[in-house]
Amino acid sequence: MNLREGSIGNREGVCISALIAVTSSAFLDGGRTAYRFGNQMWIAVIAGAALSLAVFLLVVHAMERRGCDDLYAFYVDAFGNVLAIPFCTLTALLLIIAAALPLIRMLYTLQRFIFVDADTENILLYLLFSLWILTFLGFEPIGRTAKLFSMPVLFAFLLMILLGLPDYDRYRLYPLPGSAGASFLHQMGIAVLSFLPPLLLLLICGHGMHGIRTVKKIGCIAALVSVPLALLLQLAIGTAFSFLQLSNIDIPVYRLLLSVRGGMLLRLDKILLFVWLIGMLIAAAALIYGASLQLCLGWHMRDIRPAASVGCVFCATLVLLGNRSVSVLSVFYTVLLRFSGSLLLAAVLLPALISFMKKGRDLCGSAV
Amino acid sequence: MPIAWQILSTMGNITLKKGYRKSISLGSRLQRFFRFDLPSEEFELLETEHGEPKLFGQHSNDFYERSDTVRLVSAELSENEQRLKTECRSEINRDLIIRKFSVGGQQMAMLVFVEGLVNAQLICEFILRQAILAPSIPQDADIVQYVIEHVLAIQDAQPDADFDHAKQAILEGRSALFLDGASEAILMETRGFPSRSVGAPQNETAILGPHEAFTENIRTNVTLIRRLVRTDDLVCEFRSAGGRNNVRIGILYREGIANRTLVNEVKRRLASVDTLLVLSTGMLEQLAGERGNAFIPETLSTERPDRSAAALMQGQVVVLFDGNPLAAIMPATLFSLMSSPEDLYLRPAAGSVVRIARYFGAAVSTLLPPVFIALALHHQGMLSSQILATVLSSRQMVYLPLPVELLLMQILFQLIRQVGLNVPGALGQSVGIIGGLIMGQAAVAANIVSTVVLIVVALSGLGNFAIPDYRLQLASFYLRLVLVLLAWMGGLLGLSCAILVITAWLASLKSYGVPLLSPVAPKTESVGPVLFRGPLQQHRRATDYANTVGRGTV
Repeated sequence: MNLREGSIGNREGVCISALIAVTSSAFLDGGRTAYRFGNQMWIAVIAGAALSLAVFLLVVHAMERRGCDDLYAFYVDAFGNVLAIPFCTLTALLLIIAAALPLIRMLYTLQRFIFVDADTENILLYLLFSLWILTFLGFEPIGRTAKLFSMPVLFAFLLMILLGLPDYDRYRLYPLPGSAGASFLHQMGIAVLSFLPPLLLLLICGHGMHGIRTVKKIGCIAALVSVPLALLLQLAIGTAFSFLQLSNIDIPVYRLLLSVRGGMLLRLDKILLFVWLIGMLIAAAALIYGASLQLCLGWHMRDIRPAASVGCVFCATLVLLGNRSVSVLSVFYTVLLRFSGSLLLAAVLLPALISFMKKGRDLCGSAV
Repeated sequence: MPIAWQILSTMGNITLKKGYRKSISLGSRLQRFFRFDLPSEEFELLETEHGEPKLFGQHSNDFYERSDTVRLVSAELSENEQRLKTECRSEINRDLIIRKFSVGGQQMAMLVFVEGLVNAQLICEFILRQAILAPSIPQDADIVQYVIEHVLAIQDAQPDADFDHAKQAILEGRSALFLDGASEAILMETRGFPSRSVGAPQNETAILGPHEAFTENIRTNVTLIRRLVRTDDLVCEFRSAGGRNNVRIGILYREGIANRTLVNEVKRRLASVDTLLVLSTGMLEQLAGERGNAFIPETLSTERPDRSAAALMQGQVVVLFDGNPLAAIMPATLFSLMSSPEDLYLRPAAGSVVRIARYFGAAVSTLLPPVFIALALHHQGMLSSQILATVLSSRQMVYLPLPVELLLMQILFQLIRQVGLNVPGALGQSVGIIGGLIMGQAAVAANIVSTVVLIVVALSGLGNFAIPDYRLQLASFYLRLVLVLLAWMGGLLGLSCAILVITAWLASLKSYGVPLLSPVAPKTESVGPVLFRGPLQQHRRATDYANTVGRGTV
């Protein structure tokens, strides 16, 4: 078997998970339509994160009850060997989508603000190459790289928040969503898409994290770290720009970076953006690795490299299709954004419910 | 004869290089190129006695394989003599001495050794004199045991029935005593070849630390370490490597502290080295390493006994190589490669400042040129107008593109450095001055390079010297070239992606099972060596990334 899972420690697990959650919540937003009825994104982050954590704990409890060490074993336990395959494939697809969605926004930002004359494909090649190498190296190096870059990303994050302090004003947080329930649910779905995939990744790579008990611990710590950061970011965006302004802003995070003006900080936006890019690439690589591992386990493949290659290319294709420069498919991004979160919830809740209906404990043998 | 051939024949008198035993002239090469019917003048060994080489030039392994059969020492003295003379080519090798004499006037014996490798005084006074003047051997005594116990006045004398062992011992500098009627030889420790005395370290100088360095003699090196590590658990296992060449290596570790798996892995890898050409720890490290192609070293090479002793105390393994004044410490991490022995001799604050300066130098060395290229070529908006104006004005008359200019200067810097290393002593410094100052000045004046690029290259070169390990300095140079190329292609995007990929690659590397980036990624409880140096009290604990047995019992 050449699945390159290795084993990572608690810190690496927390860093991977938190990095995915924070970068996704920073760059995954509903675009201009999200702020049509008010500035409710910061509330949606709390709700989405709480929902994700609750689902995660529920699934972990079900897995502990059945004695499963990873998500594939859990699927096999719930659905049997044959039905587990489509569920594994679905989970893998959704993870790749979760990896691609923030990259779409990042690619858009890079092309619009930094490499104005460059083609999308040219920029994408750099990202694809990096993703490919990272996923090939395996879970262990990804975890260690995440740990190494978590501090620079956190530093960039806090610097961005701190430098925007003069622009913040509390009144901009209003109006609260009120009657716009559908819009709030949409935002919550986006938040779920930010917070659930990293937790799901932990479940998939349960073996590499020394069992389900460690996964539970890592997941809870990662949520405790990432939710305040994501909330802080949304509050910073919400207090820096009113919902009317936000309705006309494509990438609020980059606009927050651009609000830093004057002196030696004039050119900080690009440097901070590239730090974000590194964090996002690590997050995407981790998700693609998780998807590839799930595919390998589901389809009984012994080598992760073909699956990882396919995952990277598929992710790059999604990024290319989702980018707004491909005008015909501009709705593509919205469709993915709208339904992926719900599908992801269904993909983990269904086996959990089935396992709760089954009698007996510790009957699940890991298939790895 | 056509005119063309006449010209070629004239050219045939021009030799390409002087000093070739059989120089191949330019004309001959050209003639051969155009006239395929001419026989080749070059010596080319296509076939061996084992038949044609395999595809892609591989050799059959059985040529190198040793025979498993044990050849015993013969009870006939003449047979042993004949074997030794034949196998050691004594007619050609005049330094192989076969000295026949009688022990106690009755027992014929033969002492064999290689002149120059042995201590002649030791042989004359404590073997030959003792044997010739010895009383006669009792009839019922075991001859070999009697000679060892009552005749030889030498510290290390062991009987051995294996003829090949005896032969190997002779070639290593020991002496073998063959007795007529005895089917064992007595192997004696008589090595005494000239060697360099213990001197000051040449490359790892420390102001506060001891001024002692390893020598080429493995015995001296072991003694230097034993003088510092006086615990009873220090073990030195002597083994051989290098196939038939049987080079002596010493594996030192603390039994009960060093991880057993690590020690076994080191032994396994060293035992697997079956290449004849192993002359230094550097070659041994490559052959025993997990990744022969990676340019980050897997072991820490040091010429300092105190550094080796510190590693042993921390539960690591040290390998000494006979004939090489360097010890290899394993496992090595990136942070240990970036550390200097003097870090521990300074107080924590001072040691930390020195370390930070070193890491800053390494970062400047590796990242400054690519960042400069990325900003100057792709992100001019990030540079202030003053800096941009300076860059533009300095490059106004320079006709080379900026990245080409920078790469050229980087390679020239390496050239000057290599020349400085190869030219002996004070002359090397002169070369550095001529190359660095005079040529740099002249190149700027001639508009071949710009002053800004010269400053960037000089700063990166200066930072490179802050890296303590020579192999890591070279690795930094290679990485810099890669980063410059990617910054040229993709600006900060290319640079970010390259930094990410390189970091992930480094995170995937391991040195004898230990991640290269530990104790940072993965985080361990180890106190160092990382960026900041803690108080020495923390160093009572062994390095936990080496997974020592009994942590905290150092």
